[in-house]
Amino acid sequence: MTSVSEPVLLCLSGIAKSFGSARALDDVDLTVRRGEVLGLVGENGAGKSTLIKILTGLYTADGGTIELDGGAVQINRPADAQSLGIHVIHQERHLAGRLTVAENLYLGHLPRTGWLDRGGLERRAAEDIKRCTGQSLDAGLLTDELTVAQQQLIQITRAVLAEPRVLILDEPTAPLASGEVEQLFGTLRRLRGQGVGIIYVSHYLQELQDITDRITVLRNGRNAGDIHLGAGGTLQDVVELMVGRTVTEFDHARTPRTPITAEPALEIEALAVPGALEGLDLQIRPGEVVAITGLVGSGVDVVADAITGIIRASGSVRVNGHAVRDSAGFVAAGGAYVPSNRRRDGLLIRHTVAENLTAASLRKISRFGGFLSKARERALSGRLIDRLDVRPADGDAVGGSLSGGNQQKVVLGKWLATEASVFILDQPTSGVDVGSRAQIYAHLNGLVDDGAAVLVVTVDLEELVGIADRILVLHRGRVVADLSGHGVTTDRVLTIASGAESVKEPA
Amino acid sequence: MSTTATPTAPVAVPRNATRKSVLAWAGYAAVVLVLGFFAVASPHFATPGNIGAVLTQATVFAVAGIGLSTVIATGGDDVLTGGIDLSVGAVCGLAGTIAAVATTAGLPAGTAILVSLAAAAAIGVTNGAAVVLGLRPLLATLATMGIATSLELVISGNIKTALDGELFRWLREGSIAGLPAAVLVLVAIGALAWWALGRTPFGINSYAVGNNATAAAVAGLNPNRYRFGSYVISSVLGGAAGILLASRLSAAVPGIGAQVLLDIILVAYMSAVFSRRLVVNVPGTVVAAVFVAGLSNGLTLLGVTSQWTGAAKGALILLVLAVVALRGRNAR
Amino acid sequence: MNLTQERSTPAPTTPANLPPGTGTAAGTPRTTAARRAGALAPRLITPVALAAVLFVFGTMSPVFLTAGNLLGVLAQLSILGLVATGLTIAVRAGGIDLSIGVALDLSALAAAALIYDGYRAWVAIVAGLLFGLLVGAINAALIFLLRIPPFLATLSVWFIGTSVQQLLTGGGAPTYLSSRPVPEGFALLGHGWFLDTIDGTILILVLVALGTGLLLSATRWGRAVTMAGEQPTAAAIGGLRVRRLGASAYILCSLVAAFAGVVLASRTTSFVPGSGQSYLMDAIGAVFIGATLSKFGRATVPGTLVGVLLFALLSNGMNLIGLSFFWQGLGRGVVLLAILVLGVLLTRRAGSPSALNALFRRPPPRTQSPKTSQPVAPTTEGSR
Repeated sequence: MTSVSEPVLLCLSGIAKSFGSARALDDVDLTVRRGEVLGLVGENGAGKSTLIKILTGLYTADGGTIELDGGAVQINRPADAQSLGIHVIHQERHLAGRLTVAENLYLGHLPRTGWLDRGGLERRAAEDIKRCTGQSLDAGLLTDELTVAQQQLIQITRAVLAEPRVLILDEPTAPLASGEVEQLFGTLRRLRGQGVGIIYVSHYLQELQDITDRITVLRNGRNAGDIHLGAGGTLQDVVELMVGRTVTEFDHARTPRTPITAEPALEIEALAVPGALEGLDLQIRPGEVVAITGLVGSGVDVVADAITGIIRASGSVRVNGHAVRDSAGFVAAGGAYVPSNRRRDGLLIRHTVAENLTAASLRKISRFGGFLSKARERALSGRLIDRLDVRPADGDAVGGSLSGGNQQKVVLGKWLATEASVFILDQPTSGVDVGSRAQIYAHLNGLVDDGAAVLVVTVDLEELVGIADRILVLHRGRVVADLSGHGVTTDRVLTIASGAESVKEPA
Repeated sequence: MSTTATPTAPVAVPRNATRKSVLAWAGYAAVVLVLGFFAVASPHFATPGNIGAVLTQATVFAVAGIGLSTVIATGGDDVLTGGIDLSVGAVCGLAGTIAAVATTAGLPAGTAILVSLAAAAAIGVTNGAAVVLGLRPLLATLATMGIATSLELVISGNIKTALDGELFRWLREGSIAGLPAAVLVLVAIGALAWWALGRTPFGINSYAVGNNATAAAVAGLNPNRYRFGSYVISSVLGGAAGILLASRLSAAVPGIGAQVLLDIILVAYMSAVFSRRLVVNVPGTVVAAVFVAGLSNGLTLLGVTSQWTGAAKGALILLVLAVVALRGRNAR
Repeated sequence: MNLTQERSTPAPTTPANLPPGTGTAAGTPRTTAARRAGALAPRLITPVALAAVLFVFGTMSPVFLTAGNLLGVLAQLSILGLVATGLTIAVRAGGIDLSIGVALDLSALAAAALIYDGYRAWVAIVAGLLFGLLVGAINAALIFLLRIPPFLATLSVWFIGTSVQQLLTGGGAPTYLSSRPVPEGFALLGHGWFLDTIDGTILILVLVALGTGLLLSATRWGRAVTMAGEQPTAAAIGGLRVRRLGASAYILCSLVAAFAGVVLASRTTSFVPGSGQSYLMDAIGAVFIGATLSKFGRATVPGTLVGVLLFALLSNGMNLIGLSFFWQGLGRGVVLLAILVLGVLLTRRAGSPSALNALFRRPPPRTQSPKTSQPVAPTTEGSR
């Protein structure tokens, strides 16, 4: 552990950044000392990624100063950050899959010898990887042939070879098995011993406890506080700072729902996606809301696509008693899917609002066996626009031009038009403003009261606890907890999801 | 659901690298098998004279194919949005015509070649600029293909122009140590290109740009510079192929560009089959060119009418694509 | 509170999402009026080009703007118009069809051969269309069953189709019908006159274009095909059978091209092998020029016809001012390149992530993020 006597290496003060009218960062301070591992946590949208992008030159701050080794520096481009010795290991692995390990490792810095000695390069790469990470890797393999953990070795080695002064790791352990995490930590400890300042972003709180000395918590674009784990701070304190208040018991405003019938509307058996999800079993009855949550890499990001047949998965899915084989079958059986990537998969951005709202119910607006009726389209979409309070209330507005909240209303409206009864919503309120959020929840509640079965996949814990009758928590591809939604607290879910507590028996 | 729709899983399963190598060797084996069959079936196929003819014919496809391979490697092999140079055939015809017209007008051979390569490079610069500006390569090179074809007609007056001169005659008939001159040119260009694409930072960076432009940019490379360069290289090599073609036919034949385009595309894409990584590459392009030339030649020697060669080539490209698609499924 | 990162969105919402060097224009606030003007500018290129062509050749040649000449231009463009209309369908479905020439040729060959052998008109026409159906079905199978990219799949069919033509015609010998009695019904296709003033082929083009245009813009099928072509995953999530829709689009594209072949055979009372492919490049150019007219950068039948008209007027004008046939490809190529490059530049200037952007520019590269699940090729079949 480092002492406070170590000199300050990096000091950010008063950093501000806005996107249009949205304030992403407001007067944020952050310091890293030489040889310190600083944990950086906060909810999505708290400003972590923005802060990192400012540090790495992808964004320029609107205000505030950055000091490195006591001198003020300007970081305007990624090259600036690199020349200052600030390196980042991105969450996304930016690697060319059909290049070898060695080629990827030295990409941009390949020796200009006129004749590239591949064998020599590969030997050197293997040595560098061994030296920097302590692990062996055949540097002649194609990057596509590697596991994700092995690909990450390339990234770590690349960063270490650059002899960084500040190294930033963005959710580095999400894809790693526990042994691999230990090896990563070994590398980090070695770097720390060399005086490198490390900023470590992770939601796996348990790991933060193992590797970090101090944790800076961001909330809503501001500093929420620092926790010194060595000096009496606990993970509970971190969770409280993240959530924003001392959590006791989540207060349910509504009464627990009772399923309308015992016959399940959605039945999922042994649903599995290789490498992502290992056997999900779930039944949802009409009038019930079930939520699934988990961290990055827990399988939470593929579960909705797998259920609705958008990606390949093994296992069986039945909607209202009909076996579902593909997405068209899912819709035909009365299913509705609101995907998480709204602009790519949910909304037809180059179609009008009216066209979007009627996209899944083209038959309803057709006549003469296949001709679209503008009048019917207008009538159907007009009703939905009113019902959902889409703004602008203009069926001819282009989908892509709407605000996030209104886009999501339109995507949901598409399924109101089909009168679907089984809803799968993936991150339904991400990027949605507060007002639209409330409206979307109200519509969901209305649907459930009318007998719909709803599955919400979400990483928004407030949403989770506020809306669900049952909560499944995924951890590394498995369901680790099955909690009743009533009386569950956000910090408990976070604790389970982050692996800080394992729940042996489903509640 | 489809296999292509499978997301890249958080925990990737290590794939069997040896199987890919086997696949690459299977490509070479198929070539040897087919050419071997011709050698057995026709007494004229494996004669030195015929082999020389096949190689000379292959040279044109190979040289232009190497250029196109550079574009595909740097642009990515998704044709609708990635790298493709449809103008390479037309540039081939244009360069041959310029060389022929220039020598007929009395310019020395060296100057004529320089002029025609410069014209080819100009088309390449246009392609590269349009692509860097953001135009789809398919559309940009389609437009320049029309332009180059038209220029060829304008310059030649739509008549066959004889290409004569010592240098061109040497390219057609000359030989060093029993090797036809065209083959020597192929070896020289092939070796140079193989070195440049396979053994220099430039080559590896180009592949990186085509494979994952973001990764290349993150590594500090400027993808657009490599893309631009690849179109210029493609056009210059297309021009060189045109000069070789005109030398072989001892004349620049109008409209020949459209005929060779498909063969060039075929050999460039086929090269991927001979690669462990299943990416387009220089040695593979040369082998594919020899194979395609040998196939046409062999079928003709066996008395198969020339019409079948086209069908054979079409079937071949489908086979190649099926192999590549198979790769795609495994790799995802 | 969120625990994990949101999935990456393809449309870059912030400058930093673009790879360095892509050049960004986003972020500058503009008035709505300026933005509207900026968004409109790319759509005006083609009308302006058309006006320029009319003006330039109108001043240079006294004959150019006469009714007789313009009607002549229309009569010249009907075959290209039909081919381009067919291609519009494939492009709208998110693909491309390089084999339309094959469909055209094989159909013309079948029709001409059957007429030569004395069959009735309707037999010849149906046989021609059946060949188109065959070509389209092969394309669809290659693209949607074998998952071969449309460009390469249809390129192969072009290869094979050319060869098949040669085989069927004994090495490429043309078929001439001049010595044979051609049934009136068949002759009418290419030689009819409407009200004694308008070439019958124009009427045919108008009818086919109207039908195709309505199919694409006013029917359930057209709407679904458009959605599947633009955002396949979103369409699949919406319950559409994306592959089936795509396949039907390719088949229809070939059918229209085949019909063009029958009309061509009737018009020229002959079949000349390899004549179809000469329409390909102009057809592609016309479709994409036409797409610049659309608010969404979408291939539309009216837009395509404007593109065809532009090419036809350009050729005609160049003929009239005595420019040789040799220069015409140059003219067409330069106009095509200029319109497309201007489109890109104006779209970029406007700074809006508009659809034109999506049409002209390469899509942002797919990052290799294993956490980003990428449901790429949407499909409708297969098993779990």
